[in-house]
Amino acid sequence: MKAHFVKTSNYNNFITMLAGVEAQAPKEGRIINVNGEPGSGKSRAMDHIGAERNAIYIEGMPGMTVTYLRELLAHELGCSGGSMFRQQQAINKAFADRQPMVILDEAQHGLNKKAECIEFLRRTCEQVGSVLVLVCHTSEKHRFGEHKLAHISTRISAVVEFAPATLEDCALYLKELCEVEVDSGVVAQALQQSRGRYRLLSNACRTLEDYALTKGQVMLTAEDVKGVMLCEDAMKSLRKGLK
Amino acid sequence: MQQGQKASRAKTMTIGLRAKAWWVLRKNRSMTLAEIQSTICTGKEKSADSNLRRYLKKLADVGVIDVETIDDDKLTSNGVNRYTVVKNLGPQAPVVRAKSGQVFDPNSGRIVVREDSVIMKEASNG
Repeated sequence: MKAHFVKTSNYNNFITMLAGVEAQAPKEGRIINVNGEPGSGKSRAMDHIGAERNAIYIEGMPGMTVTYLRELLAHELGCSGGSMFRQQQAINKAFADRQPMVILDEAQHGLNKKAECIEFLRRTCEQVGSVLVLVCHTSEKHRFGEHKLAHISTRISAVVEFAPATLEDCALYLKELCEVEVDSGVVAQALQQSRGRYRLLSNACRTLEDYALTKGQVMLTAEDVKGVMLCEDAMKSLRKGLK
Repeated sequence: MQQGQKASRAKTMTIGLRAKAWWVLRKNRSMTLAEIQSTICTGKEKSADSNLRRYLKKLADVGVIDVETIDDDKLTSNGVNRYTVVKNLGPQAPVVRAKSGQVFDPNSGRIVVREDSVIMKEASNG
């Protein structure tokens, strides 16, 4: 299996939104909410863009405070130490020099106390027009729209939902990463068995390569893999166990 | 007459492959080479595999990362390496100097040396 990042429709959608926000949104409104189900490629896409932009990555955690975030930003920007005031000054200066994108993963943990942590990040980003990306699971996105958090929700300029892979995404994924050529029937089968989750698609890709190697083929058709389990959906098995 | 660009230039910083690898490795703490490549590579890089492998080996040699061989369920394979960050040097990626092969840490401005190396022991003995 080849190893490189595949620019799926979710990623392209995010990049379009990001470009739009950077070009048009006012400085105080450069917040993007990214949400999606597990396996939809959020983390991989955020890692890709984060590494590309040398972004500041913050992993949200329960009990996170503004002091913790200030220390973390100072550490990431290489300006630790000194009083709180001096630290904030140094952070602001480093932000002005670099304009880093900030990614807050598990952003729902920043919603406590009227989202003071997100508000702190927003204000820091706002000064130089940096983009703040709030990443969360789909089930948490509604929390950002609560009335008491209007100071945050009104400043979110774009919401990007990472959806499960489409047939086109699946075809692109297998075309770019699978060492074996596959036809549209195999693509459909991989999509159906993986239910559009990239983690499972990657397993399907490996199964297809092993299967082709065993059979001594360089191309697989739907007829070849009829009835073959390309990837196992553990969640499905777990749900079956509940019944 | 004034010439040149007046509007401020975008300050978006793009970084090299090794720096990107350090970024994702620091974030995820432990990854295989395939996982790193699947995250940062675009498929257009020249010899990304050997470039990253050499970089990671140098980091492992000086004790910045730990290498563990894990089974990849293939009969004829020796397994794959999993790289784990044990010394989080900071946000700036360590640089491997081509001529000397030394690893320079731009965060502290020092050459990284393995803690149990002879040089370190001699230094600590005075």
